[in-house]
Amino acid sequence: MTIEDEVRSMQKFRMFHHVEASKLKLLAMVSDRITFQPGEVIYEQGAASDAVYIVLEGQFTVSLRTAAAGVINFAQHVRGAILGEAGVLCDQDRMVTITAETPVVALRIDRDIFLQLLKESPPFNFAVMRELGRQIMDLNNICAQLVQQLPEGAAAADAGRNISEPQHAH
Amino acid sequence: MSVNFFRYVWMYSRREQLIVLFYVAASLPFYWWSLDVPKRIVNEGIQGSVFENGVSQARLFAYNLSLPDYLGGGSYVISDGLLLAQLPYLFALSLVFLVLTLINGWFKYVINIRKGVLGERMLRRLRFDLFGLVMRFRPEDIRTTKPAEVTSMIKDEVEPIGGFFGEAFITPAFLGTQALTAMAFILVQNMWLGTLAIALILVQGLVIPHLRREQIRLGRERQIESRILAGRIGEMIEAAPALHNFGVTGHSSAEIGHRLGTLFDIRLRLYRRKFAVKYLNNLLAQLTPFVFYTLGGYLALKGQLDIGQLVAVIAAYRDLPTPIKELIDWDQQRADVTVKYEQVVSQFSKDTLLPKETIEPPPAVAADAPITVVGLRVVNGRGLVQLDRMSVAMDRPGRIALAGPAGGGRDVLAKVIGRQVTDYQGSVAIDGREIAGMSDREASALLLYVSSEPFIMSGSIRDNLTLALRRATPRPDERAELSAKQRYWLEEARKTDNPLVSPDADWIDYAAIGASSPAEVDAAVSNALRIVRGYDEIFRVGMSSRLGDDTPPDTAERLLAARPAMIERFKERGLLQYVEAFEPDTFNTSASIGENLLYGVAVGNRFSPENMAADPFMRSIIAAEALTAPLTAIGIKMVETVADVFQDLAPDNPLRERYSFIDNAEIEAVWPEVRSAWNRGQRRHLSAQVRDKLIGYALMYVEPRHRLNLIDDRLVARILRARASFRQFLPASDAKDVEFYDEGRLMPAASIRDNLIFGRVRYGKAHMRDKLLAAIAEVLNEHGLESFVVSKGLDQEVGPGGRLISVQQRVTVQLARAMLRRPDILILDDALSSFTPSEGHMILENIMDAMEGRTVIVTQSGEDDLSSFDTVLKFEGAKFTGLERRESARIPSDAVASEPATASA
Repeated sequence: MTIEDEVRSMQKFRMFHHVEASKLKLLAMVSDRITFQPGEVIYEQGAASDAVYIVLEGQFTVSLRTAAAGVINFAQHVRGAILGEAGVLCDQDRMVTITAETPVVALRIDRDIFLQLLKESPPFNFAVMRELGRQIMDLNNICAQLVQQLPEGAAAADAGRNISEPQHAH
Repeated sequence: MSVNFFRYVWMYSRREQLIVLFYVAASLPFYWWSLDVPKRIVNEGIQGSVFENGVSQARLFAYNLSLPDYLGGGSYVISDGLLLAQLPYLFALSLVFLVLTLINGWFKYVINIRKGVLGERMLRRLRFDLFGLVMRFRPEDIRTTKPAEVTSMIKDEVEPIGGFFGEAFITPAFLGTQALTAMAFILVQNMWLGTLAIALILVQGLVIPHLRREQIRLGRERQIESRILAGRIGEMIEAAPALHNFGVTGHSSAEIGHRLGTLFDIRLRLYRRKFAVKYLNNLLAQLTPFVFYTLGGYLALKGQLDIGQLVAVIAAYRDLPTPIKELIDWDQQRADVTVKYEQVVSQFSKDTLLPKETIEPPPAVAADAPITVVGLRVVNGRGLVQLDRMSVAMDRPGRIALAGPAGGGRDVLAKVIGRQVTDYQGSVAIDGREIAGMSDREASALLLYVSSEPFIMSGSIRDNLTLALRRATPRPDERAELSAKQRYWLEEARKTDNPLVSPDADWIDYAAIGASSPAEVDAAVSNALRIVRGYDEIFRVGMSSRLGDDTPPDTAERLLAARPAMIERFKERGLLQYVEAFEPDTFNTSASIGENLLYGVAVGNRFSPENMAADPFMRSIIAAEALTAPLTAIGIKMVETVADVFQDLAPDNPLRERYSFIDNAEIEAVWPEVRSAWNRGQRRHLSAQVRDKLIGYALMYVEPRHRLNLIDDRLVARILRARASFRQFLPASDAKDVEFYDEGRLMPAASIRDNLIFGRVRYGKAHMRDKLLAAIAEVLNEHGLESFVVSKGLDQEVGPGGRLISVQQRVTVQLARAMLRRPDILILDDALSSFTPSEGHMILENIMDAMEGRTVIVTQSGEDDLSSFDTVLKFEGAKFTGLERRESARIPSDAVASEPATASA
């Protein structure tokens, strides 16, 4: 697979619909293509956010280790997703663990390169923003459904409360 | 240091000056004779005045010593002399003249040499004295000193002073007596001519210095102006990144341009003056002979003066202006140099200097003596109160936090205790000893201040770390046999009061870290690095540093043994597939085309990646295997891609990093030609230069990294053939330029990591590099090579001001340096601010553990977690607002707990 192929597969993604091919080519040129075997961890909860991944092929699971309830596997995704951008943008450690479900092919973009790319290319910047916006809308939707399922009088959710496992000093 | 130049010179060079003066005195009789002999040559030898009246032989070299009448008037014959005919008489006199000339020349030579040596010695002393003074500046004064100005003063401005040291007493003595001798000689020959000469000289001596006064003033102005220029240039170079950042280089250039203009103007006026004075000087000098010829000739014709006398007078006079002129020069130089000297010395005299360093060990300070602060108040130069009056006692040992907002009193107190601010009111003392009054030796034995601005000197990381230990002051070994050169070296140092111990001697204070050999110092260094969490970093640096030629044989053996062990370990861990080993008959896809061609490591520049394509031998191999066209095509494709994708990006945009070997400027030069050739479909018409470039790019191509799908099996086969023929046909004389990969041999030119992996880590795997490195570290450890790798890492050069290493590495070095010393009191003034909070916290915890039983003083903001401290001093702005003692402390000391806090104002 060459850069040209990568550009072609990215063009099919919804988030990159409005990004011109030359910018996608730039994106491909400054990233590394990485493959993960099924079961292989793409990144680990609590690790430093050193890169953003764009999944070209394959399925993966998102899971969260919590202090109380053990590991929660809460979502499965397929190709076309951008991974780890929130952590990079907010300068936070990884919030969740991502594991490959099937063989995954992804483009790995170093943190600094990703930030530089956002500065350099408004269409790309816009694509990432739109993707984040869409995620927020999806989450709102999910939240509303979850609240509906809650029994009467349950404690309200709080963004400040962290249910993930406490960090170990490393 | 004496402010009077002559006193300074006399104080330190009396003996030598007197010796030279003795030489001067000894030279005078010969000088007189050398003036006298020409007269006798003309009168007696040529005109034959002693051969008149039929005398055919005259006596030469007959010397009688006649006593004056009041001593009895006796006469003693010293030598009867020789009886000679006129011609031998002439020759003998001429020979005497020759000998006298030689003797005079010899005197001049000796005097000049002695003078020069004397001047150089004094210059060395002066420079060393000035440097010593700067080193004793108070920290406040140091901060307002511009390094470039001081450098220019110590280096350049004192240079002319140095030349004058030797002249200070000797020149007036030498030239003055010479001129007097010549004057006396002229006077003895003829009263009139002598008086005339004196009159002319007086005019010279009076008018010219007057004219030169302005010249001196201009000279001083020039000195000050160029010193400021040096200072500003130095400042601007340091600030260059900021200037670029704000795009204000134009303004600073304008300023420098203006300063250069001022300097030019001063110099121009100086030149005009100088040559006007010179012109006048020459005129007066030329006028005198005119007078001598006319008047002297008239007197000679009248018979009142003989021709010999006239010739001698003119000869004497010809010699006269030189000493006179030089005397005037000397006087001007004197004025100039004394002004310069006073100027420079005044720059170095501060009202208060730090106390002089002593060699005696400082008095011991009780380990548990508290730091007592009484009525401390700090006001800065503009009268702003930086720390309001406060009194407190800090128990030792203890973990003390100075908490408050940054920029307030907490920083000032830290700086006072750390001796960065010595200009304060009140008292800060430990065991009754005032902190500001301690000598370096005393203070550094007790406390250590670490700020957020790491101070790194050029040298290796090891040099920078052991800097903290270089305080043993080795004593010169008296019994050691010294070579003549060493003795001379030592003697000269002694003569100028320079330090007698060589900087290359072993200055490491082994006792301080409980070590006895350099190897143990490395262990202590590693330990210190572990405390500040910098060990892994140094290990990594060591791994990627060049193996070098000087690997000890047993280490080399272990390295070779580690290679198969490494592969075994990779296999165990399932990591083997992520490494692509170098194999002679296989194309290594993770390496560049060039690396595959060379199949080895370039030693020196000839086959380095950027030069390889231009090398004739390499090119002949490429051509022989019909690789020129395909490589050019690859190069074109790369240039095309880069030109296409990166066209809008600035040349230094980090996104270009992966293709950074293709320079933007080069693309602009190469691309149009490539495109037009492409359009015409005639690739052969590329110029040789462009073709070189394109092939050069192609040799850097790595398929999985650049992913342009440019390598196929046919190309691989050709490259492998080229690899074989390159090795086969490489002339034996060039073999030293390449180290071919060989499983059984180490490659000194490659990094330790490459030497161990013996291959390339494959692309396309995210975390494997880390895992591989971890496995390598393990194997290295098992083979006892860890200390070797760390030692290599410590050899890494840091560059001037530490520019070659990252900011965090600099801070790490600075902290590790402090941990190497383990002072009784460690002051961390915002020292961890360049780390992330969690990292900083972990480092602080480690440091506090390592400093168990000693005192750590840390500046903290109010929000920081203060639970690990046992004393917290709170500040608000410049005010000290209270002391809080925490019961979690290991040593509860309630007795004194409340008392100092109440004492605070």
